[in-house]
Amino acid sequence: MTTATNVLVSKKYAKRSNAAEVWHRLKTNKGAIAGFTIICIILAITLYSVFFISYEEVTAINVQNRLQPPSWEHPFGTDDMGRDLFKRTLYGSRYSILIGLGGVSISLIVGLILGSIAGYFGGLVDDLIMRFSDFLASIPTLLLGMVIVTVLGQSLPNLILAVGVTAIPEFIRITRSSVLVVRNQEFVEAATAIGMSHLGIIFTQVVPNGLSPIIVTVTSRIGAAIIEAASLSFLGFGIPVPHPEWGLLVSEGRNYIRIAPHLTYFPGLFIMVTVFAFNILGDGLRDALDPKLKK
Amino acid sequence: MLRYIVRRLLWLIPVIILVSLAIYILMDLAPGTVIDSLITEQMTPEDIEKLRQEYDLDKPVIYRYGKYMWGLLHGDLGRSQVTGISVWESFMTRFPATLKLSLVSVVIGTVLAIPIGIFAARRAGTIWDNLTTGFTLIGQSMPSFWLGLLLLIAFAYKIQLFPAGGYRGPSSYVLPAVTSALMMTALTARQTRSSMLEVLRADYLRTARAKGVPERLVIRRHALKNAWIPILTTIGMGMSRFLAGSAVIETVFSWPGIGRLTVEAVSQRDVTLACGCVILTCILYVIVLLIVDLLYAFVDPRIKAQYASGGRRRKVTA
Repeated sequence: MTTATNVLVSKKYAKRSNAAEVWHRLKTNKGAIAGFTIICIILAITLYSVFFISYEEVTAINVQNRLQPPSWEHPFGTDDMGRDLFKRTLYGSRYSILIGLGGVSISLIVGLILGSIAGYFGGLVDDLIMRFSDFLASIPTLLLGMVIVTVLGQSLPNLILAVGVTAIPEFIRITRSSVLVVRNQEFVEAATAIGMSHLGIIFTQVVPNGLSPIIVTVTSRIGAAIIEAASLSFLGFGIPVPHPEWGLLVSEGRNYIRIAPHLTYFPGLFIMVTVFAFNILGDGLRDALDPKLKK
Repeated sequence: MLRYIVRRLLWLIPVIILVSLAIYILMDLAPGTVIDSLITEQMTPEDIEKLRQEYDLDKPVIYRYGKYMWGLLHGDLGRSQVTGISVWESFMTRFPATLKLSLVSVVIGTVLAIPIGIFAARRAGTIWDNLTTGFTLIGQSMPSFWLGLLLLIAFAYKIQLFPAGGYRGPSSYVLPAVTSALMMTALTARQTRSSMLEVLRADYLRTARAKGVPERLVIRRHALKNAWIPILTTIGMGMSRFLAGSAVIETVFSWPGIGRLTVEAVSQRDVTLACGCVILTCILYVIVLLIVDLLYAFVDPRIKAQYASGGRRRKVTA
């Protein structure tokens, strides 16, 4: 026995911290790695488009070039106004990313606060918050989104708000149920005993220990939010023309579906790949955070 | 059980009041009104004022809402402000199209999804499992309007097999039904796979096999029966989502259903029609979810027993 092997062995079997353990499981999950890679590529595209593609460039009308099929010059072809679809699609990634992240942040923040209050205090507060959540959940999401956008007007922030509000009940329920699991454990009792305030206990003891289901929901909700926003745009309740939002691009392409189907293919493909990436990352995270659920 | 049903239906009352309050007042406050499209350049200010009075737009929003609620209390959803047809009638002429499409899609979706889910669960960890999981994940990531348009390009324009839209005869059902069924298959197959996996590890399955029960029966009678609840939940959610959120697929295939009616009402600022549509859709939504809840009792005797024992409020689960 040499010391070197001992070190190796102890390294291999050393007790890893919880986070390191999760990170290790995540690294070995092919789906999660693939999802993460795709998301990085899309973020890179978004950054590129922010710096190198101007709004004037993607909205300038050039009728001589209209409805050209894909070529070297225009990889995705051109639309009915002669605008390059490739640049428009790349430019459009920012909307979906912003909507996905922004919408979920809204639902996460509101859901986290209301859900933890409901789960922690119980009683009347719990009943009130849960009835509010039930009420919100009984309005079909797309309808709620449509009404919110109509009332506030078509714009990016309002679309983000609409998508965010519709997912609030889901986050309230998830947070509440994980808080309920954690609430009665001994370390919470200990925190009460040393005189911590309710708010302190909720945010330093309860929420961090019930975080895994919330993280998983966040990741998979981002994909759902992107689809929801694209659907709203497709129906004409999203970002106004001529912004090249992906759902709107598909909707515009729909008018020329017989003569120029490429206008429909590409933006939709981008939506699918982006959502797919967030979904498999979410799947991988779920497996990594909760090994009991795996297989 | 009856008490439970009644309680769930009574819950609809505050929902309707709050929904109508929120939607009516919000839409009323939104910029633009229903008469914007009626005003022409030849109209004098007096004419416009007359029109505003006709639609009660000169009075405060509370007055219009009160009037609307008074009608609602008497079971009157009012008349569309654009067409003048009663809201109930407009909704009911469109409803059968949506209902039929939803039923067809749910049947196709379920018939496809459950075998696929079982197939994947029984081969968990193999290439077949990974393939099906991959496909269902892709299906879940597709926006339904895009899938619909792709099918439309392939099967209505490239090969002219099915009509591109409209609501005439059985062949017009194929594309919209397949689109929504595929969306649903993706979700339900995944759910079937994961709930079957959980059950397949159970000890009673080993017991059943040890007793010599044929594998086919082990799966069908012992495993699937215990995996039903989450599967049923997903199917129910799919059904209620179609009924409520079919606007997208209805738009793609020019299907004259309630989803498109609602979209049209909201975009025309037809407050009465929009509000009525949302209220009726919410009722449908809650009823479908209730039916799913009641179906639990049929597939799981434990839940039936829970209903029987005094109808205590069931704990809200995650």
